[in-house]
Amino acid sequence: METSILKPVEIPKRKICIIGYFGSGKSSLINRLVNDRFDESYKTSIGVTLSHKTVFCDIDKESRKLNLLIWDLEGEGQSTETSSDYYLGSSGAIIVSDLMRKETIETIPLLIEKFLNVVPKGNIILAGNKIDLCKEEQNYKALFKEIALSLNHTYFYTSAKTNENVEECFSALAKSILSS
Amino acid sequence: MKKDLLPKEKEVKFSLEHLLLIHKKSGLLIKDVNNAPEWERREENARVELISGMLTAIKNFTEKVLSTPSKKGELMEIVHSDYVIKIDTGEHTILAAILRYKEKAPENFDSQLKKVHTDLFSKYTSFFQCYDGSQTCDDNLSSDLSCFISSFDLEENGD
Repeated sequence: METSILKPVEIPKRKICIIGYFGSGKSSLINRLVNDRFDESYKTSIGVTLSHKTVFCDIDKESRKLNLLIWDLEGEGQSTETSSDYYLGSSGAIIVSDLMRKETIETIPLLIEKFLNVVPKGNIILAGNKIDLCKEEQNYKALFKEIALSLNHTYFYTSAKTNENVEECFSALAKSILSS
Repeated sequence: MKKDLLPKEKEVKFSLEHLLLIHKKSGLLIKDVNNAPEWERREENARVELISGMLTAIKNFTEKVLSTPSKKGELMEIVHSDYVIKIDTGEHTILAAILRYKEKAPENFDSQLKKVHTDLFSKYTSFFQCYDGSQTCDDNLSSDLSCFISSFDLEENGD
């Protein structure tokens, strides 16, 4: 006999995925968000790494909290294809590109399609990362913006190094999840 | 005092230390209960959340790699030192039991774990079906899990 009574939790929680080409700075963004740290050395992620963080966002002038279980997935474009099974049960994704590498931006539509095939109602935010490197060198900021606008997704220029828009990016995803 | 006059220490063959009820699709922790004080100290909520998610990821990975089109398998246990994590997979949930043992895990534990999981499913079906991380269940679910830990401990360790 079923006896359960549903009650809302004080702070809801959701699984989200961080997706992107290898070396785009996915793990660094999470490290900055969760530990407020940045590591100059590059360590490639294998498989999946999990982190937990409570983020805040404003909805209708009310401050809301969301507990995020963050799945940091192995970068695309390496020897093996990242399994889309890991997307199952997630409420949204941040798709991370490196503004200095064209191929990480050109693959955004493909990654969105792959994610939405598994999570059709998933919320998506685009992060153009390494904005701190875009000051003088040649970069693909314009291409990133063009693709983000054409796909009609919210986007941020982020830097895990300088902490630019990192929290804002995750908060925007939280807001999108809680509003949907 | 002669050794045989000392009170006999309780012979603990194994202990069921932690039960985690996990949402199968997302890996989100629905509920957990523990029976060992060190878990209270060591494992704050966030860490238990990570364990739940990671168990789900390991399970997904193992089953994807080892299953073939003709033979689908399931990850049922993970062994580490004198710990074993027993895993029972239901339609919407995973029930994971962290056991510590001295010799070997009890023979009928898997069937007992499955039974309690099946009972939970029939009792809380609609809750499990619509769970998305926004809801909590009444305290009965915790009680049911706690009952399993304590009753099993008493039966199997011969207290």
